[in-house]
Amino acid sequence: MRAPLEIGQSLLSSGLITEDQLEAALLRQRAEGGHLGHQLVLGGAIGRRELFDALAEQWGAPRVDLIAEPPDHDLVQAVSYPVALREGWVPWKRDGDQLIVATTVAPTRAVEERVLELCGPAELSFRVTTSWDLWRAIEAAHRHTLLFESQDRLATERPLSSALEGLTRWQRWSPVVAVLLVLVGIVLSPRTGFVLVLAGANIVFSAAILFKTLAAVLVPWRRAHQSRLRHAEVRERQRRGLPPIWRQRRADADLPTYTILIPVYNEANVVAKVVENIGSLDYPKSKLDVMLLLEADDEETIAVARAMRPPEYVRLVVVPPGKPQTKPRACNYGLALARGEFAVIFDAEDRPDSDQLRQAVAAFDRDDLERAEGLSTKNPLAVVQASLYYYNADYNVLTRMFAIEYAHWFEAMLPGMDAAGLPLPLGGTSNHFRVSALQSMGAWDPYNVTEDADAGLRASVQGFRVAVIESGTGEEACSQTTAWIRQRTRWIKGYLVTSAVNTRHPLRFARQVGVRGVVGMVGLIMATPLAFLAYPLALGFTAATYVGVQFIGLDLPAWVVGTSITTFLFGNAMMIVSAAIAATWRYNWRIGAFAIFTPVYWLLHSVAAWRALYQLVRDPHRWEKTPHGLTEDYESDAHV
Amino acid sequence: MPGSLTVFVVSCVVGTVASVYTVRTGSNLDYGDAMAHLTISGRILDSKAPGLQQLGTVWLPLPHLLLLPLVQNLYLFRTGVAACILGTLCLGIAATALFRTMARLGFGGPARLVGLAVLLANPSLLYAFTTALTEPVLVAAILACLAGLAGWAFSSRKLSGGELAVFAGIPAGAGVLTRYEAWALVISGSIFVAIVVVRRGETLRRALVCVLSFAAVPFASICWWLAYNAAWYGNPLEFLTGNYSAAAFTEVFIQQGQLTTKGNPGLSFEIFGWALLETAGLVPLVLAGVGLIVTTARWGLSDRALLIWLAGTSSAFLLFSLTSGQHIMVNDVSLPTGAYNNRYVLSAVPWVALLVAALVHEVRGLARGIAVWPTVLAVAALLVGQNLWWAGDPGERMTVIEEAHSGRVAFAPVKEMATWLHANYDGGGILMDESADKLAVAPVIGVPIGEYYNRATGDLFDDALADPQEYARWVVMHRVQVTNYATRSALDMVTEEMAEDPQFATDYRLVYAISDLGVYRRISDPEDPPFVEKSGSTS
Repeated sequence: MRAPLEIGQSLLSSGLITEDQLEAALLRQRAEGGHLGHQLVLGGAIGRRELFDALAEQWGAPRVDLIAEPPDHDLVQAVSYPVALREGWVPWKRDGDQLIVATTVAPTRAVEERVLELCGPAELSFRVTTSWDLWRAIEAAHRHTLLFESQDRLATERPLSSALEGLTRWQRWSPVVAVLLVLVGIVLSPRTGFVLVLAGANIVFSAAILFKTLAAVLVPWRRAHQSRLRHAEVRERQRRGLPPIWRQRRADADLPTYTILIPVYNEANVVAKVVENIGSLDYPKSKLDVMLLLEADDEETIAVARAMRPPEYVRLVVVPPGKPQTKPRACNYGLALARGEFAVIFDAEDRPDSDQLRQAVAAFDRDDLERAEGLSTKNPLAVVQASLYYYNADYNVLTRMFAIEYAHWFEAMLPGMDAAGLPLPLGGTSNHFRVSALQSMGAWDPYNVTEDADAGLRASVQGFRVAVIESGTGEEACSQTTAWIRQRTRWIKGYLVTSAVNTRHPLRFARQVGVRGVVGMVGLIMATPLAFLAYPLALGFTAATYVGVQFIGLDLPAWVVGTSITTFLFGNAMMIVSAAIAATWRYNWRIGAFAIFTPVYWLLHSVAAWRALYQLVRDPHRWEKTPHGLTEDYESDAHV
Repeated sequence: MPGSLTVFVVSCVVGTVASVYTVRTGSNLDYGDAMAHLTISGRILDSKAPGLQQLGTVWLPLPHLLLLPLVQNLYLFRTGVAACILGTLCLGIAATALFRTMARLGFGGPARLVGLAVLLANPSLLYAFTTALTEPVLVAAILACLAGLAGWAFSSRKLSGGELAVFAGIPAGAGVLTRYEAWALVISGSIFVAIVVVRRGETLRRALVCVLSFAAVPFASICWWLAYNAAWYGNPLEFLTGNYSAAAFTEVFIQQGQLTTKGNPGLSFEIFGWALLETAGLVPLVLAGVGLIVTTARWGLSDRALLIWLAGTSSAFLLFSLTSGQHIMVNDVSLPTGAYNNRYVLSAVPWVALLVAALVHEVRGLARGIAVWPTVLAVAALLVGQNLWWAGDPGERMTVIEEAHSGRVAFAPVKEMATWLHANYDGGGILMDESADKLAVAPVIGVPIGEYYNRATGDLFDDALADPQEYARWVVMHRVQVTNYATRSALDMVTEEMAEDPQFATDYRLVYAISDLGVYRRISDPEDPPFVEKSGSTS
């Protein structure tokens, strides 16, 4: 503890900080751990440069500005970027036999040995640099590698897991063949053809509804099961003489560093809220590693982000230009620079529950404990998903419908699927990864426009587990129909792509994920877009056959007409009821009542689904960005 | 909105009490049309020819569809409780919508209370809401539409077109599929929406979007209705020009020279005014008149004033219908006198309620020194006085009740016959032209509608008329053809075929007779009940 006192005293004696500021920083350090200097900067007592100037004086090494004087390009390649980021130094320049190292950590004997181990024998000299300068220099020096990591690694190393190649030949041709067969059938025997199409559309529609309904029905069972488990655990702990409740909350000092990735693009209007929202998280700021991922061509957002002068724990990362310019590519870029043991994605306008990071850490700790104690035979937990809700739920009819859909998804479907042990597709944000697991599964697929759903499935394929936590994140529901359709087109296209990627070798996939994995894939990822594609057919054919049978004499069997009408009415009714219950539970009955419009809302889905199908063929990697901030500062209390 | 749930519950309790009274006295089935609506609703599923084709033609379909699940229960159908349930819910919706409209207009608690009292203390309205007449659904739809428009126009936040469509357009759509007055409301509502948007300083394009949002659902409803008429009857305007249309109905009156309101706006206004006076009551009407003057003076043609004017749309439509000869209304000031179709003015009661509430609101604003609650108590006392006066001779002083009483008298022998048939029916089918004069008593007969061969069964009816012995054990008909009918469709088609048919006289025996009606039973069936003959008149 001598060194911290020394830097503290040094800054105090030079008049850069006050005694109160030092005392406050020491208090935080005792609670959270970490370096005193970092705490002083986080507390606003001192600037980053002033701190490192003082450290330079203390360590007897002059400070160097790595932005003005970047490291030697060849020299810096000697140490890989993850190692350099972890160690806190880079080889800067060579002066004859002397290797000059730019460091953010004290140049101790151990550091010298590590430098020699990695860079080879040399006479060492040190310069001090700031932590910000260091990662910027590393990022600049390793940009090519980082770009490969973020956009090409998965496609290169695991091409079967990447959406780069799109559909395989059989996947491309089988729908065409199916359509041709139906057309031929209709020409040869219109009655049989219509019966087949009508039956097919209704089967797909019914299967999707059935899956969603069954998943939702499992939620009460899951709650009861969890309650029984908790009681059993309490009894067992008491029998063993342990405190009845397992303490899920780590002390602040024991919490791991947590990386928060916030990709933003053309969102200058909302980026300023990021710091406010993240700042409200109940997590030690010294353990936060927040990266605002900005695209190089988005000058306006970059300018706004720089102007807002974010706090020390927020890094502004400008992702270099590249293809595909997608959110997962930006996230991969951030992931490569991450310092955290865990990582989560939030959107710029997200408002996570304040204890969400702690809940996620507790879930991972619990999994570690159960596995270590032999209490669980489940696959290791790779990611936990928090539920998403909308804080502008009652802004207009569309946001209400969106809120109902999300309530059904996050409050009913995902917990139900979790209870059934099915692979879970992740939501776009608030999915908390164990970084090592995420990296081992190849991170996000930059070519998949629903990288979240894909990542959840890939985790299952590779033997990891996805779970849900009872924490929420407030998001802004898209309030404009055209923007909503573009967003939904991307999502549905992503589901189609994810289905295609995972079923390139169907039998291999089935072997890898087992029956439950197949059920999850078929029942959700495949059936969802197919149901939306089939919906207007089912609706149209149901109406047409009714009208036809009644008025124009189209002679379809009564059982076909009856079954399709019943299926259609019953299916819609099931969706309305389950969505209404979920939305009423999550928001209130005023939102839940709008579930009655689900059949109309599904028509919008169908527009997006057919658009997605077209794009899948024409432009599978096209990323249609969802605009945020459309509802400005509107916030309802429906979610409270 | 705080208080909405309370208002809904209280008004449902009021509706329930009214229902208990009318069901116990049987007066909820006094109107022939009420029984006809129940029957139409029932036969959509329970018929020898079930299907949506049972809907129409002049009667719009929503009330029948709303009654549909309730009338599947034979008890609810037979007693008319099905309609009481629907009517009570409609009363709850109507009162809640009125409450929310008044709140959105900025009225304080006392004004809202008075407005609700005008609605909920109106015996004619309460009576109608316990029957299967279409007024309950219409009034609820109109008030819900007004509440939606008020919410949209006076919200602190600019609401979207979608919200306008849901909160005002859908109720308007419900109204459009209930009664034709609501078609006019769509027009006036659209004008209101356009004016509000333009006054906000927004673009004409935005005004157009909002108008389209409001009108989309009712317009689609109208299109569906036209398409339905075209599909089933080959004429999209069947409801306007067909055999069962209002035009066909008025034809007889024209021939008899009794459609005196046609082309006579003065007489139309007088008849309408008298109906309104006897239905809304003198006290509320006077207060509403003062309210109209005060609000016009104070508010001019502001958005708030226009919204209250919107509530008068149905009255304007009714006056137009009377003047153009599309509608017949008979009361003490018409020629001839009587009580017929005056219930249509019930849709004006919400307008009266809003104007009275506006008066109380403005009185409070005009004279701060006047204590509000004494004013409210005074109004309440006047309303009580009005009700006490009505109670003195309801059958004479309230034209809606008067018509019910007339119906009760006119239907008494038919219902007696129906009750007898209910007690003696032992299956085998009934051949009866329930569309004929005063034979729409299927709820009182109280057997499943699938037992009937009637006009609504289409070809089966023709087959049964051609060979009744083959199809029906029971035949119910006028023993002599109807001569005093309101429309030609009231002629008894069974009588037309059977009255002079010797084969029918051979195959069937008269087992019950009352007035000009007879119940016949197939002779070949065993256990004939003894012949019963009752005196009575259906005229």
